[in-house]
Amino acid sequence: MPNKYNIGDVFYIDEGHDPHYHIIILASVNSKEPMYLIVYLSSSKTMVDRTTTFNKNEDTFIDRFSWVKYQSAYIISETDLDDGRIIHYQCKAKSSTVDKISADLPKAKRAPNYIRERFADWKSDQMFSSI
Amino acid sequence: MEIVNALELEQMLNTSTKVKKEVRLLYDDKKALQVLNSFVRLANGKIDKYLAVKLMYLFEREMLLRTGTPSLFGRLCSIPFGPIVSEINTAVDSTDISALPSHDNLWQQYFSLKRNELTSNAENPGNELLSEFEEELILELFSKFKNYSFGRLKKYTHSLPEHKETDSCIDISYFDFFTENGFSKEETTELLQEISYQVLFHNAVLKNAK
Repeated sequence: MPNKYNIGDVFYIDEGHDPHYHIIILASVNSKEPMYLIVYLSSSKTMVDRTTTFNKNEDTFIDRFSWVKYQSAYIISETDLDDGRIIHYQCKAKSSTVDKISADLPKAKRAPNYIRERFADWKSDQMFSSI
Repeated sequence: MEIVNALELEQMLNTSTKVKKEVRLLYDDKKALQVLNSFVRLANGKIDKYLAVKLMYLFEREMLLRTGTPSLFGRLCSIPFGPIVSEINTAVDSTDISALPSHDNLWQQYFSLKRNELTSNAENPGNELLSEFEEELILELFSKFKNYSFGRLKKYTHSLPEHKETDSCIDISYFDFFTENGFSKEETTELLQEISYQVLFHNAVLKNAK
């Protein structure tokens, strides 16, 4: 069954003020239920993690200086992501945005070990599945 | 969830029973266990209980100071023995060899406490929930404090700006923690907004996620 969501999909949670954006960086190709690795963009100016930063307008949805909060990277199932009551689709991120995060994630010191391991595993699964 | 200012956030994160309970839901028992296990292994499998409990508090403290985000989301408290993460104190006590065994108590599976000495059992709970940043912090804290005597460690932790001397138990709110440690009102507001968003995101989406 094909995955419902794709790499680069940008979501936000409707919480009544400035949205916080979450980006799908990688999807599983082998698991029973589709799973996604998502990261969150923070625009907080305090305690910035400078591993991956974005300037205003670097992508269509980025309207201020933002950074990837790898500390809050998650693996999430399609069922959990598919809750239309609270999660809203925003847009598709540019491939350069996804590539930038994908290049930095393996060396992101604040990302939990299981996120980095899963990222490496899924990347290789993806490569083999495309052969 | 409309956020107005630091005082409102303070009220939400620390006073409102509902939000307080939601923040507590984020307490990560398995991650706390992996952090403690890392400290115990650095101590070659045996560590003084007081040192272990203080190292766990100092770990959460440094994560807040260096990243602005809690790592364990435990309840921070001042008690007569200095500041602690309440859940961890309780969990460590539950591993006492005289405590009632409970098959769903993960801590009893991995640790035994005997006469104030905490020993790790053979099984390893892993480290997948930790990050490289956290593992480096664990090593740094262990290296700094491993040779502190009880008195020196007590004096150090009692001198921390967020600690309040008490005969009972006083909650250390994130608001108080940041402001007592020199963060401005604006910075504290931003940090509390980030924490409250994490609570919201967890409760909205991540209940079933890893």
